[in-house]
Amino acid sequence: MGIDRRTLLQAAGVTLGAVALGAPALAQSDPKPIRIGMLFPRTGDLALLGEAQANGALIAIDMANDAGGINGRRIEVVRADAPTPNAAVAEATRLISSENIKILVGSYASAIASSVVGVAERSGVIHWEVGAIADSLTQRGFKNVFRTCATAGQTGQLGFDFALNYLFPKLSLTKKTARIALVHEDSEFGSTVAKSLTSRANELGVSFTTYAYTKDTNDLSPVVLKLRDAGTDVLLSVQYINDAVLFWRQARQLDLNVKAHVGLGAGHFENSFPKAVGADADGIFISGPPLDLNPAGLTSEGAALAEQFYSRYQKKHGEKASSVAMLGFAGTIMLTQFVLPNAKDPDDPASVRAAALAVDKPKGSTPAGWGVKFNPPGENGGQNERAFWIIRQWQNGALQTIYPEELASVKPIMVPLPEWASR
Amino acid sequence: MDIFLQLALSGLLLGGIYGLLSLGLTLVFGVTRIVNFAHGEFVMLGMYLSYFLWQLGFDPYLTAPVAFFVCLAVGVVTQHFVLRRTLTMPHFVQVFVTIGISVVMQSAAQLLFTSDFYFVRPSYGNAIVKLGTARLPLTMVIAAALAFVGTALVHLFLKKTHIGAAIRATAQDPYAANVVGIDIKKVYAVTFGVGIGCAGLAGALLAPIYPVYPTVGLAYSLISFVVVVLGGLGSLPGALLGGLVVGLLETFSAYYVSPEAKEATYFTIFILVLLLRPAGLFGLRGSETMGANH
Repeated sequence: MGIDRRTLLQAAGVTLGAVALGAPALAQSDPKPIRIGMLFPRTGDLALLGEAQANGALIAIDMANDAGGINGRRIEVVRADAPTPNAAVAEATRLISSENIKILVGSYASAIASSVVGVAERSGVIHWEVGAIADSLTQRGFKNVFRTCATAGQTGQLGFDFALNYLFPKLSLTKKTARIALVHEDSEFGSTVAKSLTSRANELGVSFTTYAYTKDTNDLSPVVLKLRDAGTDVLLSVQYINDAVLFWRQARQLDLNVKAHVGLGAGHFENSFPKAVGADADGIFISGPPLDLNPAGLTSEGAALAEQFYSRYQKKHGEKASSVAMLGFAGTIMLTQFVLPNAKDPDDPASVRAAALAVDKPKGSTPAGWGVKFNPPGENGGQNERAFWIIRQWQNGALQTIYPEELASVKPIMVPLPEWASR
Repeated sequence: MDIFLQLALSGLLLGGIYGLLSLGLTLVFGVTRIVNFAHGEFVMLGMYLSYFLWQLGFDPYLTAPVAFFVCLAVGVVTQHFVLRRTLTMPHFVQVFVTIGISVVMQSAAQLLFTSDFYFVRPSYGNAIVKLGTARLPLTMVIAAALAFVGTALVHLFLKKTHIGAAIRATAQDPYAANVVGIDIKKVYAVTFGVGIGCAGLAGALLAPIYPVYPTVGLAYSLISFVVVVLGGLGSLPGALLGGLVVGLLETFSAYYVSPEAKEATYFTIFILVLLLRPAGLFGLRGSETMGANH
């Protein structure tokens, strides 16, 4: 029995191999498309933003195909749905083994990406991550995993750099005099960002006070009162939407007046936040993926790509591109514009990897403001070391880009934040 | 001293809200002996009702009675078609049935309203009541005050009306109540309806304070169970007092110990109370075992 099955499997393997070998031979007469697998959550809780990111990525593919493809070969996208880590593993395996995909683009969520990268690495297939930010993705020593966007750890760095370089001079504060507080919810997410903030603060020699709380709370007045007692000048917060809303409402109710509030979590980022607190959102800084950058801070190439992206997205989807879509686009355009055209054989992962590692583009070359330079395999291998997050600010119910200054689209408002009594 | 006053008043308001949340749960348990795990989902229903009516231009406090009566009707219907059939079955059947109802309601909310957060924001949503140096949000003051009024009204309903007397009789001994001619099926339906109505009312009063989303009821169910068991199973004043105890414990321990310690604090007290006084702080001795024989 066992021998029979093995023989059968071998026969199947030989047949599949023959089919795979036969494909390039056929390509000589009629250029075969380059096939790319796209793996994003299309159903379930993550679908809304996962789909937005995929839409951004697909604009990059459209642009490559409209320009005649990669060296004359069109890109054909094979899509899959990855609502959960388990589904992601199954679908990645399917794309690799039955669709014969050599490059996977994904995947919006860190939980999804974490499980896909293992499959890709084992199968010797490239995983091109455009949106998942967990630091660990590029710390597992994999050589086939590339990440185009910045990481969760960089959020903490940005928070203190922004406070020190930008806010302190405007508020006449110094490292010694400023009373800084960090408020964070204590789940994995909040604690990770808080840790990265703490290590950056230690590097910079800044001291601050931390207040952690559980996010399913019905009352944050004790936290607000402690911050009020301490006379906090600059407030950094890592919160989800529920607690962010509760906190800021209670800050008003209990008259907690800070000079600046920088939100480093997911809570202040979505439109739900100004919907919940109205004009009280104005003046809050948030960190996050780049969008609406000043074209003057981009290279001519980056500015042209940005313009095309915004207009194509508006035309195709009838709405303005979000920052989540921008991550999808900026990451995928790196692949189609800078990597694949220079790969000797775009169907061979080894030559795609070599081409990716050879890219060296300065800051501002992509529509997200980033440059492109991937770390070689090893420590944090495959991470784009020229990616970063930016700071935006709620102004009249909309987010505006503030920092880094060369990419700022407008001037900040409400620095310092006015006291509640006068709002 | 200023901070003490603020914490005490904040704790009392939060406790009032917990009492309001627990009123319906304790009523349903006290009479029908059903531990309603879908309680929080009926609160959620009240919150969504308040949100959609507010979208249509109605003030959230005008819609609160609407939420009460709509949820009362939903409660009666649920009791009639689902729970009535489980009355003679073992308790764990009722537990699973109410858990089932809670899952169905959550999923339905997710399908109908998506998992977005909704917010009710009346023009006076930021109004503050000042008491000495303490600052209290008007919306919470109203909710806590109505918790007292609601408890008093339900208490009067039980003491002064004919159906109230029938409900109390059924709670004491359903068999004897049946023998003297009380229609205990009707009593169960009315009690469940009023209990769910209270949950809906609580939801409507919470909508201007907290965001509305499909799984919002989970947290409310947990806290209501703690409050009801702490206060005494089936005791109406117990629910209110239990709520106040938990609210005060929360604010004081969060301020003086750590915001992360508040749940540990009130659960520790909760376990101690269960060990030393199994009937809860204000329950009649032995009430925790009542109903185990039918």
